[in-house]
Amino acid sequence: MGFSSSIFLFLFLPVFLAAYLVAGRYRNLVLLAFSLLFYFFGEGYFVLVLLISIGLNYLVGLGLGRSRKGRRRWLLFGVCGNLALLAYFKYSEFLVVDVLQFPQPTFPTDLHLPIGISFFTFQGLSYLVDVYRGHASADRSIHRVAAYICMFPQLIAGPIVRYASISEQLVRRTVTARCVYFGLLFFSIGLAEKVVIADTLAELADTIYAAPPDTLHASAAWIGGLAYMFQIFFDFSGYSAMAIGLGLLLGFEFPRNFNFPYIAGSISEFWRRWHMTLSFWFRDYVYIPLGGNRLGAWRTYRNLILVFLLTGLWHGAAWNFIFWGCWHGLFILVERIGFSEILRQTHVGVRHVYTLAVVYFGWILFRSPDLEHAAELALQHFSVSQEGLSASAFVTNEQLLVLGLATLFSTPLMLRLSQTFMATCEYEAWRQTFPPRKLVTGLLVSGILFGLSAIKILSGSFSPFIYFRF
Amino acid sequence: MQSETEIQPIAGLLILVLIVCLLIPTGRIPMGDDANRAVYHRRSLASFPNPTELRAEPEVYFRALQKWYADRVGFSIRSSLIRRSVSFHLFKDSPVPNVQIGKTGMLFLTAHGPVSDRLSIEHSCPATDRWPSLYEKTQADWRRIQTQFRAKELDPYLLIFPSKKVLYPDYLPRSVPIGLRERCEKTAGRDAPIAHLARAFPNHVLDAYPVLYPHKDKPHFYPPENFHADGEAAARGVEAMISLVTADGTPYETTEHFSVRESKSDLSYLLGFSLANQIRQIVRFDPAELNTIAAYEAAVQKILGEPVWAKRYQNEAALRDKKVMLITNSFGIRAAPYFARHFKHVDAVSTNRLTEPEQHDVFFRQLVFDAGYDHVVFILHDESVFKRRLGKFVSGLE
Repeated sequence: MGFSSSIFLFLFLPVFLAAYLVAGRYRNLVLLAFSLLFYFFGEGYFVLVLLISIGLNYLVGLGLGRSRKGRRRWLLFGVCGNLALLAYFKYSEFLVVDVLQFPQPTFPTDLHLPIGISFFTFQGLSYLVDVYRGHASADRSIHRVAAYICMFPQLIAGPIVRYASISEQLVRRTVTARCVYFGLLFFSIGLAEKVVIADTLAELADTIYAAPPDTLHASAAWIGGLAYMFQIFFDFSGYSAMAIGLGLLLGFEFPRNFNFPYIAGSISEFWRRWHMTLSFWFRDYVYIPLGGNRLGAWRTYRNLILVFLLTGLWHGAAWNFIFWGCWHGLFILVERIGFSEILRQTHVGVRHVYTLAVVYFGWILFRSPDLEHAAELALQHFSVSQEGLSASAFVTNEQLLVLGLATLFSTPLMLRLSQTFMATCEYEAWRQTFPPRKLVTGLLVSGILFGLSAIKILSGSFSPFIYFRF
Repeated sequence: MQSETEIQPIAGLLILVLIVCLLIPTGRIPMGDDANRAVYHRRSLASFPNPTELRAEPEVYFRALQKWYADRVGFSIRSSLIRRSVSFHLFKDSPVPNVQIGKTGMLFLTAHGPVSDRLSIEHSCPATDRWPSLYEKTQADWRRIQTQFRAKELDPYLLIFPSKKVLYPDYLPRSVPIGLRERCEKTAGRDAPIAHLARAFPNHVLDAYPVLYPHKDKPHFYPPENFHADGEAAARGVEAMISLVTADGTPYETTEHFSVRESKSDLSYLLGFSLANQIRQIVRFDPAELNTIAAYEAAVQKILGEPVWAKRYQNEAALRDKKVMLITNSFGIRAAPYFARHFKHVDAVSTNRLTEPEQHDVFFRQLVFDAGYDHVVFILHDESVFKRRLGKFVSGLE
């Protein structure tokens, strides 16, 4: 049950909100119950994996909180337990079958990957590490730990919320009218990003990626690549915006996950703007504990490559994800070695072209079913052959328009323009005050976007989220 | 279990309004009519999952529940109509993958299922290396049909309409590969299988392509928004066939006058909204005003056990006092009224839903052979001939 499904929008969400509204002091319990139902709805008895994760983190958290000695051992046990769950469901088949190439019968293949396991595992780890480091205290209430790990707005596709950043809100929070306004605005904008932009481009990207690369004209390869580049951004950014919006409706402030990544002037900057909660998670829980950049150049390079290898692996147990992570890691390394200095002296346009080119061809690696397909499709971009189906054979007028809109909305231009007439969807804007005129306009915009998305959802378009599979 | 979550009054009120608004589509479920929804979707709706299945495989149960809900949630049909209409009229895009928009907005049905595989074009425009086997098979099938009918003292005729892809290959959408487009151009050639079949049986098989070709560029001739030949295109094909049936092959040119009239595209049901179109119709002739016998269709359906389309026309004013049977696919449905203008008694049955030889056998024995027809005319289009519809008739006859 995705946020863009009719049953979520018109049944689950209002029933949940009604229960939340009347629950009084038991709002966390209502949130927990509906979150488990949300997961059970999509994953059935695999909700047990989630419950095991909750139980493990709660008990280890208590252990960390109570013992003065052996805290390191508690942490090690908790980290290993979390990673064991993730490794079994997500990586074991890849490791045994693809990496070690054991004969098939030695290991059960086609293991079901519980949705969102990478997200809730990382949240669980965040809880343990934050308690261990003393950034937050261990929570004795299992329902609060459970609510933190499995809160449905960000359960299956993030943003990854750090325990320390939300622990106080789990105990005490206030839902103001401004929270509701911005919650609705974030949710509507996210829904429109997902349904109107990402889903429209998904049809184009899927068709082109499904075609054998040698049957494509270079123009078709480019349009397919662009469609996917914007699809994945608006799909994921849309989901994050919806999660932030739902969080605000419930009184939570989730962290920002995207900050116009396609306007970045370097790959390092791109990763400070793309899936920020994951980048910062790896920075704080892997890169810095490994020594960060404090132990000399070679250790820094090793740490960077390791982090990006893990970033690739986090996205999926397949070679193309690993190579995608390494692809980004390689450019980060090159920039660290000195290329960033050269970049800084170039024209801003050159910096953007460089960044977009690296990101663009990275997405081809990411989206292709295998490395061979990725290489063929990348080469097809530069083919001078006039054979093959051109872009016009694939793209519809609506998709062309949406591609234009996607380009526009992936820059801050529209956001800046909208500030003149409405209280716009900027992160942490809910702390500011706005004239009523701007709030009314915002509500109207929110209604229009929701209406447009609802028409598409109700008319029966298929709309799975890309990031669910991670 | 407790938390101190304060919801301020205005926030609570706003959330309440939101809840009410969001529940409206669900609230409309009991007010909907499943039969109408099924007609719109052209499929049976998902049934409510059996609660006992929840325990065994909850995720499967919930998926089924989601389908049940999505089929019935309020405003879904209205939303679909809006979306499809906007897609077609505003963006000039087809809202379904199997109808594609060609040059000057001409619509082409490229596949019979909801896929974009262009199978219908592949079938209408066979590759030239398949032609020799098509010559052989279609001629053998027709010869066997003739033999069986002549044994019952009936002389069958065959009218074949060209599909739009063959008559207008230069209008095919850009998404159609050049090779396939060239195949469609060749399918209209003199040595193409349909022309070949017509030459082999000059007094009994009519290829309507050369009849329609000189008129093809008239506006609305083969209605651009239609799949089937209708109006003037259907009329000209039928009148040429009547000439063959009644005058043994005298070249025929209709003297009728045609004018443009408003109609509805036959692709509307696929596109999911009502698409208006215009057709060139014979002046002072309206197929809807023909006298039909309603009970005939029910009787035919009872005999065949399938909801087939069937119509009996009785036209006392017709000049020819003959009884004619039209054995058709969907192209014959549009052509039948033009036969009914000329003959006092015309029966037409679409055999599209007959798949088994036994069904064809019952059809021929009970509805054709002993009904005292003066003429029997088969009406098909090129694609159905290439997909061996004639062979299916043979399987029911032998």
